[in-house]
Amino acid sequence: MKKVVGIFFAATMVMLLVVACAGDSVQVAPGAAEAPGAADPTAPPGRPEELPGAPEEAPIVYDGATRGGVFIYAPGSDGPSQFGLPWDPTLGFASVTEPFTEGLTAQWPDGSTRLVLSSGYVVGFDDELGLYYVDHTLHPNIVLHPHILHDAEPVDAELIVWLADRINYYRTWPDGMIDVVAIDDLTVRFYWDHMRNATPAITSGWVTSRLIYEAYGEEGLNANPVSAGPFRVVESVPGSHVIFERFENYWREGLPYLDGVQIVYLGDVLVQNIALQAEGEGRVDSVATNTAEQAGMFQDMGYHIMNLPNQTITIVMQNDLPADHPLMNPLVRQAISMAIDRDGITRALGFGVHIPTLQYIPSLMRGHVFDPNFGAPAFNPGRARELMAEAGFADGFSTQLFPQPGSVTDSQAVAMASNLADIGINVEIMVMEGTPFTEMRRETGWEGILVGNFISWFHAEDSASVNFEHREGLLPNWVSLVPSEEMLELITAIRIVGDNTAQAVALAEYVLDHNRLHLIPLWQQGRMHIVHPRIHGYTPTDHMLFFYRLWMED
Amino acid sequence: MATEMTNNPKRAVNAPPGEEAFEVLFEEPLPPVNEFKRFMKVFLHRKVVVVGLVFVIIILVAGLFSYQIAPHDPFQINLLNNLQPPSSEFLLGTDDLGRCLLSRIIHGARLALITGVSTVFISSAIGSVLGLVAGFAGKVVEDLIMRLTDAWLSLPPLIIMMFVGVILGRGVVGIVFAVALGMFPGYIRLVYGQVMTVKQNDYIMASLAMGDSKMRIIFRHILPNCITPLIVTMTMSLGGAVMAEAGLSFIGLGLAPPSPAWGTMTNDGYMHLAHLPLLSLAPSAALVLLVFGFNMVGDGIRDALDPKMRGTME
Amino acid sequence: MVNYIIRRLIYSVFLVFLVSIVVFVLMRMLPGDPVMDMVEQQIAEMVQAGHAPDLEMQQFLRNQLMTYHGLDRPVSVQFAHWLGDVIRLDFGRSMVRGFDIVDEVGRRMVVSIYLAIISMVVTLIFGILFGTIAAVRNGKLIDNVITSISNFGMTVPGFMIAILLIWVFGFLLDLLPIFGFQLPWMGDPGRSVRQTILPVLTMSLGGIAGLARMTRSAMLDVLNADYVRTAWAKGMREKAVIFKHVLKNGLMPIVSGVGGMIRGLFGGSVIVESIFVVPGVGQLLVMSMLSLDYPVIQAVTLLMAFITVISNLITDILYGWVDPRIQYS
Repeated sequence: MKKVVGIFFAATMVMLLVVACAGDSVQVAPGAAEAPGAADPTAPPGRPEELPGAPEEAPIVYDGATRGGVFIYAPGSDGPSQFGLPWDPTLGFASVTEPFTEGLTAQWPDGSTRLVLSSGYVVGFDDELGLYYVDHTLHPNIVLHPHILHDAEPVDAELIVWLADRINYYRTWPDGMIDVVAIDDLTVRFYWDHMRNATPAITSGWVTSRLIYEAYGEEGLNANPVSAGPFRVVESVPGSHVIFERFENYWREGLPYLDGVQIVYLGDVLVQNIALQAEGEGRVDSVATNTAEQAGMFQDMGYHIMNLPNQTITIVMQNDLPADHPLMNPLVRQAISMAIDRDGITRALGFGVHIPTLQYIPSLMRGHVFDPNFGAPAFNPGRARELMAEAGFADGFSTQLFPQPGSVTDSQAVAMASNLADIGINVEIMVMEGTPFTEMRRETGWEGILVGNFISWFHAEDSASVNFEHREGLLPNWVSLVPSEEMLELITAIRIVGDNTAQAVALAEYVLDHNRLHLIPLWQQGRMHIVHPRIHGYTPTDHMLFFYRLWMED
Repeated sequence: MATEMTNNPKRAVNAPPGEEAFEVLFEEPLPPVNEFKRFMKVFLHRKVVVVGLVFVIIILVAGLFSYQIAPHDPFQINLLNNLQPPSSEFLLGTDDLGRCLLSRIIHGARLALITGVSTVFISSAIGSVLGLVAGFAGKVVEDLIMRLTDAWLSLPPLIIMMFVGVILGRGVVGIVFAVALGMFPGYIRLVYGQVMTVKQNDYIMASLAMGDSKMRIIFRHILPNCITPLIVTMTMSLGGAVMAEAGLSFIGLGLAPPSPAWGTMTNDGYMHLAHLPLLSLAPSAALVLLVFGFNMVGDGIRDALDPKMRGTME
Repeated sequence: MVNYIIRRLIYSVFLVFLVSIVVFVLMRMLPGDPVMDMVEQQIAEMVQAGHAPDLEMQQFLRNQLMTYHGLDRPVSVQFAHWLGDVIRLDFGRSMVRGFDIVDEVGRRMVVSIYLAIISMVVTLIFGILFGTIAAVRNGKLIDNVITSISNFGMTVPGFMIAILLIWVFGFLLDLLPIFGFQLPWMGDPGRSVRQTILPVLTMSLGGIAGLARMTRSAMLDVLNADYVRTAWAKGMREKAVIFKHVLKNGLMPIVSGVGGMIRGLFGGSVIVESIFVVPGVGQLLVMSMLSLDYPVIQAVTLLMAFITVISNLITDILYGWVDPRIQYS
C-alpha cells in the first residue's frame, strides 16, 4: 500500500511540474490580444487535444469496446435541481452534466479555461468605455438537441446574449461583468470592469432553448431539458435514473462513439460494489465515490481509479477562545499536529488513495511547496508530550472532536481520538448531521477540534478570499481565523492577475506558522471514480472532464 | 367468547391475533398446583423455546462478564493490523481500525441488552399509565388519548425514528427514547383493552356501586389482571426493541462511535461483505440470535402463563 | 353496515387530518433548514463567480426564498393554506427539486402498488400454504422445519434479508439484476420480471414467515375444535375437512393480520426501494426526508396514512364478513 502511495505521489508531482511549465508554452487563441493595457497573462488553452496530459497517459487504444454501447454511470446521489433535471447545471456537478450540457467555456480542475462552444477568444481594452472586454467566437453550425418546437435550433450570438440576460435576471452576473452584446452572428462581447484569472471562463452558463422559454416559460424548460452536448435526455426520474441518448448531429463519422449514457443513483455501497463487478444487465461501468475504502478495494482488483485529490482535510480550532484555553496555546496546537499519525491513518483508512500532507494547498494546485519540511509539525508523539508539559498541560485536558459528516469517517475520527489520547488530550467524538454541523461551524463560540475539508479550491485568488478573508459583515465562511493586517495584505496580494504562486505560498507560510497554526493539515483526498477496466479513453487524473475525455475526440 | 365479541367488537378488531388467548378466566377456582413447577414444565416443553433460552443466557453471560470473557480490549486500535481475516489471536479477525471483532461483539452484548431492556421498560411504563388514564378518565380524555394513539400508529415509523433520533442525539438515552416512543402506543392499546374488559365484569360494577375509589379498583382488580399480558408483551417486544435499535444504527442514526453497537458494526463491515463477510455477518448473526432468543422465550412465557394451557401438560 | 362504513370513513378522514398536523409540525421542528441549503448553493455559486457575499446578502436570499415558499408565515397559517390546497388536490411542487408532486407521486404510486400487490399475493399463497401444511402435519418433521424457519424468518429484519439476497443472487451466483425497476408494460417485460424478483422476495419473506406462524396457530386452534373432531369422526376426507372447516374458520385471525401486512408492505417498501433503486413512493420519501423537502414529505405521509386507515377499514369489514358473529354497531 505504501508503495502505491509513493508512486502516486511521484506521479502527481510530475504532473504538477508539467502543468506548471505548460503555463508558458500554451498557444494563444486565434487573433490574440492586441489592445493596449490589456493585461493578458491568462494563456487560454486551445482545443483539448493540444493540452498537455498526464505524463503516464497511455495512447488511447480504440478497440471494439469503445465504439457504441451504453455507458452506465453511478454518481452516488443526485443533487438538488431547479431545472427538472436531477442536478443544477449551473453548479458544480460537472461530471454529471458533461454528457448533456455545454456552455461557451468550462474550467480545468486547476482553474484554467477550456473552450467548449467557443472557438477562441480575444481579450482587449475599450478606451472609450474604460472597460475590459472578452470577445468569444462561437463555432459555426452549432445546434441544440431536437425539441418540441424546433428540430435544430441554432446557437448564435443572440442566444448567448439572451442567456446571459436570463442569468442576470434570475441570479446574478459574476463580479465585475458589466454588459454582454452581440458583435455579429457568431461573436459575443463581454464587458468587464476588471480582469481576473478566471474571467474568460465565467460566461453565460448552460446553453438552452430560448424558443421553449418564450413559449412555455421556466416550467417548460424544466420539462424539456435541452442543450447542445453530445447526448440528449430521454427520461429523467428524480433520485432514480436519467437516460441519455446520442445526439446524432454531434458526432463525427468514423470516430469512437457511444450510443448513450445512463445515470443511476445507487445509494447503497453493496449494490454499487456488486454492480461494478457484474457483466450482464445490472452492470455499472463507473461509480463515483468519496470513500477511500471502496476505491482502494477496487484498485487492488485492477480497476482504474480516477483520483484528483483536491480537498485537504484539516484540523481547525477557534481563534477567539479565552486566552488561557488550552486550544489557544501554540504549543498545544503544535502538539496536536505532532500527535496525529497521518501516515498510519492514511495507510490503514485511506487505502492508498489518501495522501498525508502537512500543507493545505493540494499537490495539484499552484502554491503547493515540494519541501517535505514545509508546513505544520510532523508526527512526533514523544516531542508532543514534551510540548504539552511545557505548555502546562502535562496531565492533559478534555475537549470535543467534530468530524465533518461526509468528509471524515467515523473510523478516522476514532483513530485521531486515539492518537490524541496518547498525548493526554481526551476527546469526545461528536457525530453530527450535515446541516447542524454547518450551522455550528458558521457560528462563533463553539469549542473543540473541527476536522474536515473546509477549504474551497478553485483558483488561488478565489480561495484566498473565500477561505481567509474575514471583514466586518462578510460571510464568515471561515469562522474565526481573525486575520491580522499582515494576513489581509497577503490576501490582497494573492488576487493579482497572473501567476500568483508566490503569493499563495506566502499566505500558506503565514497561516501554517508554528506560532499560529490556524490550520493543521492532515491528508489530501478527493472525489474518485472507480472505472471498470473495459472502459477506455479515461485519463487517471481528470475527474471533472471524465465524459469529455471519454468520447469527445473529434 | 361470542358474546364478548358482540359486546365489544372494537376491542376484538384491534387486538393483535392470538391476544384473546390472554383473557383471564375469573370464575373457576383453580385446582391447587405448584404454580412455579407448572410454569417451568410448560415453558420448557417446546424445544425451540429451550434453544432460544440458551441463546439468551449465553448473550446475558457475555454481557455481564464481557470484561472477563473478551480476549482483547474492544477499543484498542492497531492500524498496522487492520482488516485481518480470522486467526488464532483474533478469532473473528479485526475491523478497519484493527480492533478485535470478537471482543467488540462480546462487549456489544451488554449494550444491546441495556438498550433493549430499558426501551421496553420505558415504553411499557408510559403506555400503561396512558392506557389506565384513558380507561378511567372521562370520555374526552379517553377519546383524545385513543385517537392520538391511532394517529401515532398511522405515521410511517421512519418519520418517528428519524425525528426522535435527530432530536435526542446519538447517545444511549436518545436511542432508547427514539425506539420507546415508536413502541409505546401498543401498550396503551393493551392496557386500555384490559381495563375495558375488566370493567365490564359484575364485581367491578359491584365495587363501584359500593363506593370503592377508582384507585382502589385500579390496584386491586385492574393491575393484577394486566400483569400477565404485560409481562408477555414485554418479553415479546424485547426482540423488536433490540432490532429497532440495530436498524437505527444501521441507517447511521444509532449510537456514536466508538461504542460497539451491533447495528453500527454491521453497517461498518457492510462494504467488505464480498471479501471479509464476517465483519458484517458476525455482529448481525449475534443480533439475530438474541432477537430469536427473546422471541422464543416470549413465546414460551406466553404459553406458560396462558390460562388455556393450564392443566394441559399433565 | 353502510352506516358503520360511513362513520368509519369520517373517522378515517379525521385521523388522516390528525396525522398531517403531526407531520406538519414535526417536520418544521426538525433541525436543519432546507432553505438554508439552497441559499448555501446560491452563495457558493456567487463565490465561484467572484462575488464576496456577506451576511446581509445571505439573509436577503434566505428571506426571498422563505417568502417564495411561504415559510415565513406562522405554522398555523401555513397549515391552513396547505390544507386548502390539498382539498383542491393541489399538492404543489417540490421545494428542492421542482417537480410537480401529484405527477411524480402518481407515477411512483403505480410502481409501489404493483410491487406491493405482487408481494401480497406471494405472501398470502406461500404463508397460508406453509402454515396449513405445518398445522396439518403438527409435530412431524415438516412442521418442525417450517416452524423453525419461520421463527428465524420473523427475526431477520428487511435490510438483512436484502443484503443476503443481493450477496447471494447478485454476487455469488450473478443471476439477477440488483438495481433498477421498470414496469413490464413500459419496456422489456422479461427484464422487468427479473428486476421484480429480489425486491418482492425481500418484501415478502418476513411476511411469509409471520403468516405461516399465524396460520399454523389459528389452524391448530380450529383443528382441536369439536366440530372438526366431529367431521373427522363422520369420516370425511382429509382435504374436505381442511378446506371446508379448518381453513374457513381459521381464516379469521389471518384476515386481521393481513390488514397489518398492507401497512407493513408500504412501510417496508421504504427500505427496499432505496436499496434496489426502485422509483417508488418509498424512495421518494427517503429522498425528500434527506433534503427536508416539506411539501413532498407531507404529501407522501398523507398518502401513507390514508393507505393505513383504509386498509384498517377493509380489514374490519373483511373481519365481519368472515366472522358473522361480529355486528357493526
